[in-house]
Amino acid sequence: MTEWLHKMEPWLGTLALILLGIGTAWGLWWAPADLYQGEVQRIMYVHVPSAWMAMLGFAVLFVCSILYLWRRHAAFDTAAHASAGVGAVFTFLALVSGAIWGKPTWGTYWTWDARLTTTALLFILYIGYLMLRAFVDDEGKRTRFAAVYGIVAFLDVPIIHFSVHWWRTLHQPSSLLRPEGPAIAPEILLPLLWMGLAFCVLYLYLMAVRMQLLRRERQLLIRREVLLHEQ
Amino acid sequence: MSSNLEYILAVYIIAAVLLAGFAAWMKWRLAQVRRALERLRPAEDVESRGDPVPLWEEER
Repeated sequence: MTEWLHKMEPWLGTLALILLGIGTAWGLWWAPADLYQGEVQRIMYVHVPSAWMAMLGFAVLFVCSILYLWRRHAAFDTAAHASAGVGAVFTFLALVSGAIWGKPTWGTYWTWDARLTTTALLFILYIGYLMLRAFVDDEGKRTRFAAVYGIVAFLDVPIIHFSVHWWRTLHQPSSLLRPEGPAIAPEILLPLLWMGLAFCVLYLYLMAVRMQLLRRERQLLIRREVLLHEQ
Repeated sequence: MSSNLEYILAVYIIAAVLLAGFAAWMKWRLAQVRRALERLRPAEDVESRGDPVPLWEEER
């Protein structure tokens, strides 16, 4: 997987750009305006895929943390670390785009709604993970602590998903994953799914670049230490 | 449309700047680290101009 991501990086970048370009044009011009929300619903083509990637990012962090503790393979730790950075960016985008959508729709940028609060908590958890990695010097302890943190903090992801069912929230319940089927018209659903695919490819591209960067930084650190020992 | 255009534009511009900026920052940092590695690399490796061991192999 690591090898595949490394080799596919330029292709993933190009594919993400093409998919995002088509998806943006589709969402902004070709898709019709929503009957109730009007034109502002077009923000959903950025907000919803960002929120999906925010949760996917933590799911990857969770799985890689388990695999790292189980197999002790450095590639899993690198993937978890990379996913934290990429996931944090998507979570930030989901929060900002949601706040901007909230102003004309709800009349406020922010409210302490369960879905919004648990998503804000996810962003804090991402930052906490990155800070933990930055502040623990011993590599063995750092990777172990980070993996345990990644597993425990993942608990927030199902809470985000079910928050709209468990509590009375201003945020609407799931429109896609419902036993009765999606509650979105195909004219709006298709560009949304397209943007979801585009964001998935973009996530993979960003992961490929970030994993490469983290590995090179590690290589540099090791080489500097070796040189220091030699001197 | 006109009353909410600023909100829609703001989201798309923020998304483009944030995501492109993040990718560009990582690429810039990667180039910086590569240059630093090149400076530390032993002479025979610099001559070969390639990675003696692929990145994914090095982690095994």
